[in-house]
Amino acid sequence: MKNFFLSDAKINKQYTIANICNDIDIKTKTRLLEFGFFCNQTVVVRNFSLKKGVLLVELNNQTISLRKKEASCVVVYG
Amino acid sequence: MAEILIVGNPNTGKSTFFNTLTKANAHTGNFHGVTVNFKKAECKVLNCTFVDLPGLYSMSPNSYEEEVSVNYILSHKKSCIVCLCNNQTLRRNLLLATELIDLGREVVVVVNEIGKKIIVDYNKLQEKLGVKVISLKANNKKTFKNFFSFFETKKEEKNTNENYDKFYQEKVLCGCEYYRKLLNISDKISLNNYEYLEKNIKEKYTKIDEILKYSEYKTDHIVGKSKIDKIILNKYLCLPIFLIILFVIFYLTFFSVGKFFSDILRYIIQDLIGENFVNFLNNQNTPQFVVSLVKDGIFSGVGSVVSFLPQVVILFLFLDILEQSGYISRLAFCLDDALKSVGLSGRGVYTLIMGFGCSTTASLTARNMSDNNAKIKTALLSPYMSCSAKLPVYAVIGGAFFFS
Ligand SMILES: Nc1nc2c(ncn2[C@@H]2O[C@H](COP(=O)(O)OP(=O)(O)OP(=O)(O)O)[C@@H](O)[C@H]2O)c(=O)[nH]1
Ligand SMILES: [Mg+2]
Repeated sequence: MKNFFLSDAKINKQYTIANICNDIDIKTKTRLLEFGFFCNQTVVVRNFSLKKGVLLVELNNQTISLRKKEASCVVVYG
Repeated sequence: MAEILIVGNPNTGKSTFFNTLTKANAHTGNFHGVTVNFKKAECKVLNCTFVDLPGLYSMSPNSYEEEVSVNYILSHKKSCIVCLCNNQTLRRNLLLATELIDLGREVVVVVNEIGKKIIVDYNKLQEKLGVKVISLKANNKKTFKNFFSFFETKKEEKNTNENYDKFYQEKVLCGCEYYRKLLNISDKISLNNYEYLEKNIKEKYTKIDEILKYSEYKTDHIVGKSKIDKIILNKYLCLPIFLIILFVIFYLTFFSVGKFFSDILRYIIQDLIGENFVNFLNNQNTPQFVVSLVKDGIFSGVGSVVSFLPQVVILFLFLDILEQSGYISRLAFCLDDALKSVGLSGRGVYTLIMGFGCSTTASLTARNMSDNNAKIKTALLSPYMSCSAKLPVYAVIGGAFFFS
């Protein structure tokens, strides 16, 4: 299965997180992990703003808004 | 007098809880980062002081207002902590609670029950967490019975086994800037930090999941978009809808309802009371300059300022509806692109909209934005929003220059 970034994911389709890259600042990574972004968790992108500045992502029954910068270091497959 | 800190994730209802407890009027709103500084008030029932702190996701602060909270928690080591959780986001909320418990602090977990779709056995949760768990509804004092009786019978300061050194070391290994600064550590963050961080948070969540599994934590599928969200968050409709809402609010405030009440108030002050009082003065042969002072200065001047009161009240009412309904968080998402093109961020919407109510307090809410550049720009922009206190000023200047 091909891996790609969450920022390129299709809307309303379920994906599994493969990895969180380390090429973000540690603050952002901390926040992502605290929100529950781990390998093997499933995520669904519910909506994004026109230019994909922000993505609304569903994870563990919660909607979380992610900036593109954040979403493009979450690697998913599915 | 003992001090109890109200701590918890953003938007869990801390300020609502604080207001119900102490009859204070801390600002509440359905948006993350409404509270940006601590606020203290006394609770008569328990004879202690409660402190409402800004929301934070964990003890690793990521923004200014989170630092305010962490500073307060770490500098008031004797204070008992009420960790407010929300039953809908319990898993994430427990991350902070477990951090505080691991730190050895005296913690009481209070679960704010909003909506009923979640089933938790609070006794089991209490057994697993090892601290008192109380459930209540933050906006309803009648549900506070258990909370009050727990604090009334609570013994003085428990012998807590605080673990600050270990806690600091752990946070430093996780690469948290706040604790690195605190301990004067200047070496660069390495890959090891990233790996340790991942392992650390994963361990915490594994523990939380075990606890929640034991206490039968069930969530129905509560999120996903509702029908209304589908329309409000639609790519092409969101902007027109926002403009229509703004138009309706301003129309009702300044032209129809608001103007109606303003006119009535002005009529009462200037024509009914003012006119009769001036007639009375004239009958008493009062010197003309005093009559003029009373007529043009007091009744016209004060009257025209006070007559804006209904409009201010109505504007605040609408802003509150916008704020409490959660529309602003959706707006932040929708307008992110548009605001980013001028160097702001979607989160700034909250500050800018609140600027219509009071620019001064609104500019403070810019604090919760993580992007420093956007934060400063938003704060500098907020005074240009036409806040309600500026209305009388417009009226006076307008009246002076444009007579008709
Ligand atoms: N229905 C209901 N709504 C609640 C309850 N408690 C809080 N809310 C709502 O939840 C929203 C957030 O409440 P706040 O008290 O501002 O939350 P907070 O934890 O102080 O948030 P921050 O200051 O941003 O950290 C508001 O819109 C409240 O009206 C409750 O018990 N029932
Ligand atoms: Mg608050």
